[in-house]
Amino acid sequence: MGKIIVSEFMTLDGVMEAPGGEDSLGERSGWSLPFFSEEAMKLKLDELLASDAFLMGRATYQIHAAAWPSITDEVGFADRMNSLPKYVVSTTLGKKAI
Amino acid sequence: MRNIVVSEFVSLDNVMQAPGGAEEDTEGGFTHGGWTGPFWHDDIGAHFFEEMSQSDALLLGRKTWQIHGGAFEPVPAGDPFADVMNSMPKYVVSTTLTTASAWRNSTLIRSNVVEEVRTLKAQPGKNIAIDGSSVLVHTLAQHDLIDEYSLLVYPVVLGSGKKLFPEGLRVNLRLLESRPLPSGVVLMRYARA
Repeated sequence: MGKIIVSEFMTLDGVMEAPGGEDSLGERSGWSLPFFSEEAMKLKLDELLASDAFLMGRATYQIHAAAWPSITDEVGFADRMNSLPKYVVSTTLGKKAI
Repeated sequence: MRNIVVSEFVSLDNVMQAPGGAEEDTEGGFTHGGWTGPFWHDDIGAHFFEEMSQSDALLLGRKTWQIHGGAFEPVPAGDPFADVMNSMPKYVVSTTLTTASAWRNSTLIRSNVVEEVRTLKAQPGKNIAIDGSSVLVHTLAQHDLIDEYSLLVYPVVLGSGKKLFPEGLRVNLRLLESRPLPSGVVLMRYARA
């Protein structure tokens, strides 16, 4: 039985919206970026490497889908994001959108 | 200039209501009172003792002051923590109290809270500590009067209750220390960024 691991960027008051510059939070968007570090990247990469599936809601899936296919990096983060089997939960997406 | 240090028990979802007991504060229909109990460890007591030793005043909202006063005032001399709490000068902020005589060494602040706190901060001395006191903490946060947050973060999500940080306020902080304690609580200390 696989474990479901929720991996989030989160503020001290429990907010997890738009950490990376996504549109939804206006000028407060991208709040995680000033604190980015190689170590954080490594931690996220290790998490990806320890997983063999990615489960997402529709909005997050679309944000990832718009970004990752055109990204390459030296540590293999984008490769892993692109090659992992992904499951997107949505009542509105059609099969074609995936 | 003294630092104002907000010292709180807080859940992972930012709730700080009634950490110590079921009847401590049931406002809003809060039913989770006492949620810190299962994680008690002597290191937490030692941490608070240390915080109090770096402070020479307590600034409290009315409810927290009444809860603390009700607990500590009757304790006979000789209990190390109660002695510290009883002898420490206390400032209680309230528009409804007419006297602060229920707990020794207490002074009542009835109006101009922000100005009164600025005056306290300007005096020489050690830290001014606040615990609990959600309404007061929100007011001070909104006026950028909080120099440090010393948070004991518990591995629990309560889903409802009074929040440490006020809705709608952006606060930028700088991590001073992060230290896991043996029972799964993490001490996180932040200063104003």
